[in-house]
Amino acid sequence: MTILDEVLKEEYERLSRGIGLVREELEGLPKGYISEKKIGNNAYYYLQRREGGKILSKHIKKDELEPYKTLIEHRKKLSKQIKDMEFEQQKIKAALKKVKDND
Amino acid sequence: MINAQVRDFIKTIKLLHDNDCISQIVIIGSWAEHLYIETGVLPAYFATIMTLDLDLLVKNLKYPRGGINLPELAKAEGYQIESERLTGITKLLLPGSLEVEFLLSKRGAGNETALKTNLGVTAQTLRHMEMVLANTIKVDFYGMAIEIPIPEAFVIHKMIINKDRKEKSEKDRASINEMYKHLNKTRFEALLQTLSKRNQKEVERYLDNFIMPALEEVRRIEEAKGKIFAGN
Repeated sequence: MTILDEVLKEEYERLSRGIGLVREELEGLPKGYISEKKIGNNAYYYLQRREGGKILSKHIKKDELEPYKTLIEHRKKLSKQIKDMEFEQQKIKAALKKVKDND
Repeated sequence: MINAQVRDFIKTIKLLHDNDCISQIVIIGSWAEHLYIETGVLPAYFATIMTLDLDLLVKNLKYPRGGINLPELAKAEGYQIESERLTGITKLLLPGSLEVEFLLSKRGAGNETALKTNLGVTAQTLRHMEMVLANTIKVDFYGMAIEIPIPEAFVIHKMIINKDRKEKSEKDRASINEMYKHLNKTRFEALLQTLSKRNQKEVERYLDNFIMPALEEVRRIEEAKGKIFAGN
């Protein structure tokens, strides 16, 4: 194994650790999206998500709307971080394969 | 199990150690970050990728007094020696593994980009290195005492030079912002007070632009969690 292989493998493992840490953080955040329903002049908000073909819905109290928005936005950011790290891992896998094929 | 790159790092440190020049060197750059984790200085720090560059900051170009020829000694150990054509800057190479570079603190009005040292290498001169030179700790790595900047000094230095780092500035910011979480804030503040007014402003500008917004976001998220989950 070349030193470059080792560096790439270490980076792959480092990214795996990073993904694990972000996933742990995701566990504590609400899943889904916020939908708004207007009835007359009033707006009602729901936290919705799909599970097993069903849409699960939870009413959000008015004073919880902003905190839910904050956490769902945060969840999106973390999910993107995971995707980015997984993409980096794919690139490393491809690079390692290329090195192996060229040997 | 140690990998080949770490073995080569140890080989380089041993070369300096066996020739009595390790005490003249402070390890900076990505290897210092790696050492913060490996030696337990910042065990929870999530470091960025290690590069092939091993940056060695030479404390004083006039030491050791009698002078040595480090490139010759390195050559005998299997290193390739490179000398930049324009500047003469010396690099010790272990191809595909390590590129050892020497740096020197630029002081006063001097505008030399490189200076010869008594180690027998020509080192690149850089400004703003006083902070890392004046605030170091010795750590033990595989039985050898190595000097690295204290993490607070490392971060402050990186904050000062960040805007001049061009394409490397974003990668540096990722390291700084992650490392900042693990720093001793009292020590950080105390070191900040030792800087010139100009450099203090540079660090404050960095904190305002890149650290405070992240801290504010963490605060907002924790507050939101508190409001939603408090009753559950």
